[in-house]
Amino acid sequence: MIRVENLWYTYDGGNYVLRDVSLEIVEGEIYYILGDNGSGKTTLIRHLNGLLKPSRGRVLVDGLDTRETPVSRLAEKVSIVFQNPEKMFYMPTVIEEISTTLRNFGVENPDQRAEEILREYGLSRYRDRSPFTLSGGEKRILSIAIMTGWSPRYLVLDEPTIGLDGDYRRRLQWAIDRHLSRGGAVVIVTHDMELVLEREGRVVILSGGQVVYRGYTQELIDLDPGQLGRYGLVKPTYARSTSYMKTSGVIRDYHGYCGVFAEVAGVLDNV
Amino acid sequence: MYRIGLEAFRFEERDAALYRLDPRAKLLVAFIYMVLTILVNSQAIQLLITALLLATLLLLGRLGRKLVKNLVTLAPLMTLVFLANYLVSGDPMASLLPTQKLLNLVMSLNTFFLTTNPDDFAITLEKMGMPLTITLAFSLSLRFIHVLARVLTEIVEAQLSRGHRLDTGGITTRIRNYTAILIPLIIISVRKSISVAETLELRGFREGARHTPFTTMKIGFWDVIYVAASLSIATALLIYGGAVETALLEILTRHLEYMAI
Ligand SMILES: Nc1ncnc2c1ncn2[C@@H]1O[C@H](COP(=O)(O)OP(=O)(O)OP(=O)(O)O)[C@@H](O)[C@H]1O
Ligand SMILES: [Mg+2]
Repeated sequence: MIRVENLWYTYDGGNYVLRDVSLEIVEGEIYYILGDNGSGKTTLIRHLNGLLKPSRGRVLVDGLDTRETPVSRLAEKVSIVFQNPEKMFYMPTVIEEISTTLRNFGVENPDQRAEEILREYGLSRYRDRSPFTLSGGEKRILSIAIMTGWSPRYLVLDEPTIGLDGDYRRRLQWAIDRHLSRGGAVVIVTHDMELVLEREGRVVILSGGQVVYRGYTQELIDLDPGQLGRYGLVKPTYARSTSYMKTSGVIRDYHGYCGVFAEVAGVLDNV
Repeated sequence: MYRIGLEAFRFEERDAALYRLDPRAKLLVAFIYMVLTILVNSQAIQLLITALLLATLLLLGRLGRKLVKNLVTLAPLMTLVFLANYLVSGDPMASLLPTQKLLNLVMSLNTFFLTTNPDDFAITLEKMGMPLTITLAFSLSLRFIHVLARVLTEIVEAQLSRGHRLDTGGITTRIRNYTAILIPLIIISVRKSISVAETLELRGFREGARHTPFTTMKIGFWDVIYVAASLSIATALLIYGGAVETALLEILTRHLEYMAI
């Protein structure tokens, strides 16, 4: 379990970017951190593997205080995939990019495992290409492939769907589901409401560095578009229709319907 | 810990007297102090210059916190200069002089750079007759340093998250660890500079182009006072340096005696 306790953080010693944020991240669960630009989402997740140390409050990862534990030790448990995947690439080929990280975390048979990972993520044809020559979506899926290779316990994704569609989006979904089914926890920072509504999970909305909303994805559908808009979120049309159907008594709860509507919407988009 | 110390040298808007002065006046004063620092070889007077610069930065610029960060970042370099001189000369007091000069040079530059928006600096250069291409290059590079510092922090964070250890292991591990930072840094900065060039082109920038500055500058009463005060102090110190030094030394030794008793 990761416990974020009354976390305050300031970059410059002046204004606080995080204000008294508390959060528990439990294995097997999925968490969505939402909020408008500059609300402190990335700053919050940088605390989860000890890259940033709290100005006030504390963060405990499986009982280890991040202030007293080296980042390398925490990084093995908490894997963070950052917004811009390019900043992590440095090896000449895609395959080496994966295996070098497996080696860092002491995975057995790193080379063989790297080949498997390539296949799992549909990246085999780029095996010997330089990561920098991949497309935006390919870079992103590669960064996710790299950061899940050693089966970390907590997987943190910062805006994972930007530039991903079709096949790669499905691979991302698959990676998330596999991680959850193995008992890991997933934390997703996103503006993508479709991604949020695809799974039952917990929702935390940040605004100005404070937690302004806590709840479940189901309840999010009930919030009116204006309120969501204030947090920089857009309600997908199909979510609007499902909530309309619920208020008018056509369906009793959302469970299952959102997925169906999302699929219908997807099909309609492609017509 | 690995956060880049460049922040300490960056301009940040603030409401203080020094920030409101004309950039040209500030540049001139910084220049006067630098010349003075270079010419003066008396340690007592260097100390006086440090005090004057400190007063300027603290009272007129309200830069206390920033100055501390700034000097902490510089401390290793100053130590290095001191040690290098000490190894050559073997005299600790004499080795202090170059260190003092370095300190005063940096503080002189601070009176200008910490308090002047890079854009205003570019306009200043332009007013002094520099071609637009050069002034633009200047202000872009100043901004770029800040962008790169951020990119660098993010790269370091990404690599730490991948399990890289930056400060352990043998020579080969260390070299490998540093390539993990240098390669993305170089590629990203080259890309960024190409996109800046493309943007300039798209915006219709070409050599020899004329433009109308967005802001205008005017020398005011306080600018004149600021320059005149610094200039007279500098001239006085250069001309009456000997007398001032004797007086200063006398005061200093008397203080030391008091403290000893
Ligand atoms: N390295 C840094 N130094 C100083 N300030 C920073 C730094 N990184 C972020 N900030 C500031 O902290 C605040 C929160 O930034 P953060 O990146 O956490 O927001 P975010 O919620 O991730 O936004 P986005 O949706 O745009 O990614 C912003 O005001 C930002 O300018
Ligand atoms: Mg962010």
